[in-house]
Amino acid sequence: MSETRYDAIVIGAGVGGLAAAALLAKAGRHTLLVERQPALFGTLAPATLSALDPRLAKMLKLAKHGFGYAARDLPLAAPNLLLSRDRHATARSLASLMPTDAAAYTVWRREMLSLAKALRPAWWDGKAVAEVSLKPAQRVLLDRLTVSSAIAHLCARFESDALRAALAFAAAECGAVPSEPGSALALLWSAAQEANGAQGAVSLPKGGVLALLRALSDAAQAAGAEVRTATPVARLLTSGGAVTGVELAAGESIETPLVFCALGRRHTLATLLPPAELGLGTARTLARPVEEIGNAVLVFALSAAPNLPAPPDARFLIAERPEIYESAFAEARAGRNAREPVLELVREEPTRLVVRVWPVAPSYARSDLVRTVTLMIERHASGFANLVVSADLLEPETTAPVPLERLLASAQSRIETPLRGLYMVGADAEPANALSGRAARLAVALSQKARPR
Amino acid sequence: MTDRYDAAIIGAGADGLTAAALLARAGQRVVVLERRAEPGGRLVTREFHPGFRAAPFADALPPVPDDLFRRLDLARHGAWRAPAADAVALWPDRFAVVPRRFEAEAEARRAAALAHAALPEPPAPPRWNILAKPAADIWPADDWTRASLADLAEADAPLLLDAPALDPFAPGTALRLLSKPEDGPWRGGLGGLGAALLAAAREAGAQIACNREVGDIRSENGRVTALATAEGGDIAARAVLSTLDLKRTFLSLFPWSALPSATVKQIGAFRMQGSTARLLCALSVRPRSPLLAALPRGAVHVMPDARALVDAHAAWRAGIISEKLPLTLRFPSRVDPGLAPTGGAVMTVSIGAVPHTLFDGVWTNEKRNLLTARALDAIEQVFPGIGATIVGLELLTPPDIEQQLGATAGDLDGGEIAPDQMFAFRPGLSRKSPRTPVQGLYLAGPSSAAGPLGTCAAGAIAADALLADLRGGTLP
Repeated sequence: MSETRYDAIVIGAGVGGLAAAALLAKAGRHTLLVERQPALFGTLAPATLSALDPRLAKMLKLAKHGFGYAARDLPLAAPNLLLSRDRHATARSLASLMPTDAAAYTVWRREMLSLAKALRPAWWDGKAVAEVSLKPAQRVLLDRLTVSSAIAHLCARFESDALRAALAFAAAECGAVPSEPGSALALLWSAAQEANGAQGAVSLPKGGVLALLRALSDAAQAAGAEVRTATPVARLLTSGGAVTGVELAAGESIETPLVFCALGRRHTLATLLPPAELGLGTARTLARPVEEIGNAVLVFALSAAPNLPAPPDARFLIAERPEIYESAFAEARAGRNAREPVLELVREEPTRLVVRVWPVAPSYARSDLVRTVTLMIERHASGFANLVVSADLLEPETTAPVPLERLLASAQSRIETPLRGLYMVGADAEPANALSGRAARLAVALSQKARPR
Repeated sequence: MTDRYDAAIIGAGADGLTAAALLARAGQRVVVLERRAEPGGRLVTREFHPGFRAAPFADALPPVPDDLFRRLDLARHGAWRAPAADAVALWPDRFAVVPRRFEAEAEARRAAALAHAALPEPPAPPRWNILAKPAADIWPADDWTRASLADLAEADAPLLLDAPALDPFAPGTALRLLSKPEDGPWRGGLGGLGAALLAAAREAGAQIACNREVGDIRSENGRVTALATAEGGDIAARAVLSTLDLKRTFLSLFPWSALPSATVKQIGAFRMQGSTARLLCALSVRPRSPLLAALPRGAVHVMPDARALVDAHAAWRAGIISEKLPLTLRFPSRVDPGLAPTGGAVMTVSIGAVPHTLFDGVWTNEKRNLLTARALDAIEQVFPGIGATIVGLELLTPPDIEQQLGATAGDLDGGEIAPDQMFAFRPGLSRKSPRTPVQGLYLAGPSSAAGPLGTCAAGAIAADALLADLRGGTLP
């Protein structure tokens, strides 16, 4: 016999949902997590993490729940290019590519990292970007970045196409379209993140991102959160502008004053709420179609280690020219598979290759995608196609491109909703798309401020 | 030196003539150097087929700001403005008048931006409310630096621009509404405006020298001293005002070593890319389509389609002649019958998404014919039978425009209109724009902050800055 009243209900068991459930349960709230899928997490996930909230990891003591890093900072490799934390190796690699870029890269990286660090209060603690105090030179750079596209910004700073394309990847990775104005700010956001204490690093967790999900779910359940899988939510129950409960697809109603939703904001507001709960303006904005694009994760099991022209621990990027991003995103938007998508290859184990593919349209053709990707890798690692034992595709999640507003908005406006008691903790409650859990931490803090026990 | 001018102006287009009139009226000795045989720049009308005349580069330009119109006293010099004509979208079976939805808003934004650009030293950095606006619930696209044309458009009323090469779904494209041309307000077409400006400049006492091409801007110790003309001979001047675009001004008129390397790099990164071709057609008879008689006298957008624009934009970026081209037609002889012989008519076509540099080589005759044929095929669909009445054609591809008008890469906008190349970021060389890193050199023209915001506006702002410096004693 299940209870029909909880202090808080979390919808969706991604990083955001699990983190919210764990934090709420730890704070002593009687918490229920509902997940639509039959299992809490699947068997496939991207390999790397770049934006996990360090404070969340500390609060939930994730290390005690089995979470750890296999590699702290993966170098970024591309054909003829290697960017790593070793400054000298990076300078050598750049000097052989384009001598002027070696010096320009050092300057650029220093400027970006210091500005990004100054903006952390906005992106990490919920201050508005406009309120952060900056030096005049930093303010000028920030202003330029907010109106520039990542590609235009990088083209103005560097000469070599390989370097431009490699650096633009950070913007694509967090959901921006690198050829669109404002995406340069996504580069900055990405530079503000840290992994395992290193700013701007991309790290490989032991056991991949699945290990993070396991650790979070361990932490949530150890703290007493209840979990129900195969439990889709039909709608939210509301009264007088506040959430009062959740109605499950099975028909059951559960009372709760607090709902943390890890689904998309648009989806939540448009499908889980009665339209009358939203203002006319919001309802109209929701009705406007948005073009969604996203990325896919392909996991190749191989019979032997692939022969990639990069160190084994590096992320290998296949995006030779900056124009690739523009044409690939244009094709994805038109609903076609990109003929030449952007690929990021990570060797999770010597014979397990995790490939992220950008961009993917909602109506992608699955078999084509696997073939295109295999052929593209084959061009850089001859014999690759013959090594493939199996290729598994993680269903791509598509979202609307990250708008500039999200990167500049205060945490409150990303997380709170027109409805009291409803908080967003999903991917689009973060400033940019990344597995971070920071929105969950901020949402729980906001809810506790609004309704102290 | 006896023959020293206070200001030498490069280019006798709208901006050059405006600056000349304002400076000369303020008592300065002014000379305008024009490469071509007649002044006017984009405002000229020329014969492209015996008896048929048209303005080769544009039939319409963004509006002249009202206060500037009065300040130049253009009405007394013969310019006369009528209300702007409506534009229509035309399909083989129907047409729709394009609603004038954003004109007032564009006008307000232009005025605010021009006031900002006219400040002696704009408060830096410009905020443009980017950071100040609270994010609403779903982040509505309320600011044009972030909005796309598709955001502003409603499903049944597309926002149409002349010969665009853009992805209407990309953020920031709404800014193009600021430089949207205004149709048909000048008596005698753009030539009427040109004649009035020329009269104003001459009356004020400015000297206008045609057939004088500037070869070099001479500078000493980072300070402009003279202009060297291509025919030989230097023209000494205390200040130089260039109405050429950014790249042409700095990269072709200066020896590279004369500029700081950071400036050269910044100018190199300024994105300029031509996208418009013009097709001038002489028609033996007036088109007899009953449709045409019913249409307003503004621009006719041929079968506009947002999806096709995305494809055309992608093709343009790749250097390919798109299969579906965005076309805007005008019939200037309907407004000014004198442009064509009795019974004939002039049709001009602005073709969008035409690359300056083709991926597979130069603009051969074959490719020019292909472009012409694709454009005429589409026009034939909406005006059946019009092809048979064409007796003369002239095609101007972006390289032709570059060569004839002197616009880098044939870019009629003087640099891509994008959020990072507008307002204080245009051209972004100096906080005290229109001043440049070279003392005594002022940049008007399409690449300056005011360039896309109104015809003549950039010339006036640069002239005012120059005048303030001449009087303030910053220029020797």
